[in-house]
Amino acid sequence: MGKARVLCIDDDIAQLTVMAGILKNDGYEVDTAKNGTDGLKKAHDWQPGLIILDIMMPGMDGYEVCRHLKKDEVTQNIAVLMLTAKGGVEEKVDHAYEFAGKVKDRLKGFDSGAMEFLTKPVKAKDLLQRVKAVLWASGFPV
Amino acid sequence: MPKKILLVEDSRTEALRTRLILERAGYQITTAANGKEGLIKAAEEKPDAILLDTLMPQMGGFEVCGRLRLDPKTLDIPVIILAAEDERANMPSGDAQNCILPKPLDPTRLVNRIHELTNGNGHTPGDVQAELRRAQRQVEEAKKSRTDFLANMSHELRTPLHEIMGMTDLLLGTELTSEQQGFINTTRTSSNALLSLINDVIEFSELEAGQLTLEQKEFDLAEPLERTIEIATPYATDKGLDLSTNIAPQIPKRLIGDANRVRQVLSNLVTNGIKFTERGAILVRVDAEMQRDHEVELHFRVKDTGIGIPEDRHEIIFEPFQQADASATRRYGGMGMGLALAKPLVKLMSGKIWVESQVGQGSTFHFTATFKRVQSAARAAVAAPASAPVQHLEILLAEDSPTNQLIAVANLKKAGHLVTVANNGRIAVQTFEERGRRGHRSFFDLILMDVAMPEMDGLEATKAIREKEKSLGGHTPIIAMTAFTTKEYRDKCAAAGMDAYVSKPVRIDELTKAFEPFLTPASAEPEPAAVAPVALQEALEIVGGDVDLLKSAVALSLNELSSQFADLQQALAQQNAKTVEAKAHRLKGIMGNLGALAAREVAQRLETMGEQGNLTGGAAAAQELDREMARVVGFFSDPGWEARARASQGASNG
Repeated sequence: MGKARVLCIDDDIAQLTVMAGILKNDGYEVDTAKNGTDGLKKAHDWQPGLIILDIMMPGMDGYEVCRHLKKDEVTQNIAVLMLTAKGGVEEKVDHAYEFAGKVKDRLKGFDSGAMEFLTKPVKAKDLLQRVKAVLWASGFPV
Repeated sequence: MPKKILLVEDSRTEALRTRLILERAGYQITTAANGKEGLIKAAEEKPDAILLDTLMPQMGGFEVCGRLRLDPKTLDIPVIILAAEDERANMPSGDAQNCILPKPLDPTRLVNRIHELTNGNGHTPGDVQAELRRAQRQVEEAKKSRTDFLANMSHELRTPLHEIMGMTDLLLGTELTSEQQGFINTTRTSSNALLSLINDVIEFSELEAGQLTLEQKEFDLAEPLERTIEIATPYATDKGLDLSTNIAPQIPKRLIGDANRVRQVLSNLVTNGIKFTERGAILVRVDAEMQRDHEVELHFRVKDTGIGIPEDRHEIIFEPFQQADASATRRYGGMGMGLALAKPLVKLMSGKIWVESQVGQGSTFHFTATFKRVQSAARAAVAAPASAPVQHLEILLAEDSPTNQLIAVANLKKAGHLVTVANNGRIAVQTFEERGRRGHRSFFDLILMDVAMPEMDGLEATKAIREKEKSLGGHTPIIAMTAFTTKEYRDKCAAAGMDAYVSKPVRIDELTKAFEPFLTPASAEPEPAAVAPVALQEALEIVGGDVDLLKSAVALSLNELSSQFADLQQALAQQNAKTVEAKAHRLKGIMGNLGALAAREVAQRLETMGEQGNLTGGAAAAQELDREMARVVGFFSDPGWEARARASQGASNG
């Protein structure tokens, strides 16, 4: 049996191409969607093992997509890995009084049902590691 | 049903002990080994109470607690903080103590406390949580006021020092007898020493506040070593000690990183070694710990033949204001800032610092640090001569201190510039406006603005000038001169519309460097590149070494650039901050994926402007972004990049 299915949702086509390319090179089965609506439909029909979701998209943003995913019985158990370009959260945790604003993004993400985060630009190595970890955590053989 | 307790504790033994206590009392326990895991489990499992250790790597108990309060799911879960005796001394007193339990834990007290909290006896959880939140706020405020105090103090200390150093420099330029020259040289050396001490204190406060970042520039590893030896030699010679360095031959000569920080850590260790060594030698040795394709991890050793350090002090000497032995302060002097500074600096360089030592046997200080390797493309760009043509600028100097005026005017004139002086911000704005009215083509080429001035300070004056520019047109670069070097303060300057800053005391070489970006008008020939527009290695890492994938990403990205940039400019013209944020965000993403670090940084700045709703300086930043993006396009239009990329991939695969 091949590796898990991964759906990438991002409005940036170059970003999509790169992510899909990296994941395919590593043996995953990949599909892409350029916006939230399209992404939700593909998630429902194709039922991937993991969804990689950009937060900042015009129209429906990543949080909203994630909330919809969690409402639909068919998609609610699919692990979601969120892409954020805001950055700096992990690096700044030591700094007590700066954290509130920076962490908001992530808490919002966790709230809407995301499982993990990746900060853009994402290096291939990090992407593959995180994808593997999330898939493993949601019970896929890796 | 048994009550669920979440235990967030990094020490396995502590966790096991606490778990046993609670399981015996009939609770159901879940554990998390760090703050992040704790947050996730808290949200998922909704425990009846959470036990938090205060001291954990990365995220401490108070912070976890703060984050729990930000999340509606975990907002109301009672929290008990577990703190060792010495940490509790720093905590606010009052009712908050009720949910702080001392370590080592008293089993009965712990069980009683949990019983009370989960059954609503004693304090209601709400009360207790409110207290805890208040306590946490107090800790944060105390921390903040300390940082502010240090920033202010540094200003107070550096202003007079600035004047001393400036006058000394001027005096050195006059005719002096050799005896006088000697005196002045000593004055200069001592002022420098004092300045570096003040800088240490400021830096430490910045490091503590997490405000310090590392430079990523190409440097020669021998440089920081030589500089360290140069600084330390006089002290070593005084004590009759030998100093020697040794760099392992397999280490690449040139690396990318922060040479100054390396020098700083090394010279702290070396001067420390000299201080505690009566006879013998200090040896500095650098080895490669690990060599990877893009990175090198180096292992530095500073070995002395001094008094040595007892084993129980091996860790504490890296804390501020601590020495191996309190009496050493009297005997060996020093306030013990050096090692405290070294530790967070090394951490910033992704390394570790430690000591091996025995009393009477000397000490060896070790630290590791990771550096990027120099890529050939970046190298070629750096090698290009950066010969800035000499230009004579018309400068408006806003400065209230007569001494500083004198120094600045003398230095600027020496460099061939024309200077107009304004005694405060109000006069500066006036002068600027008058020039505009008289119909001068370009008011001033540049404004040098002191920040702290009477009547109207530099920030206000800058805002006023930027406001006037809206009707007058144009953008005159404003460079802040400030003794405040905290990031917070720099951000304030940027927010007011300043383009750059130099720290006081202002050195002429630093000033010249700050001028450089404004010397060549944007319309002239492209400037010689200081840094390669694209870090090819970075770009390759993003695509996992797949050059074809990078090629399609380049094609797709470049295709989109002009329309995105046009949208950005339109949004700027319409002062539409939200769109500016969105468009800059997109451009940042595109540039980031291509390894175009400089362009990404400019886009990031624009995004922040949009996010904060303050578009002052946006037009200038957009111009800069345009220039940077043009360089990126230029880079990828040259088909040579692909060959280089394939070659570098081939090299790392083989």
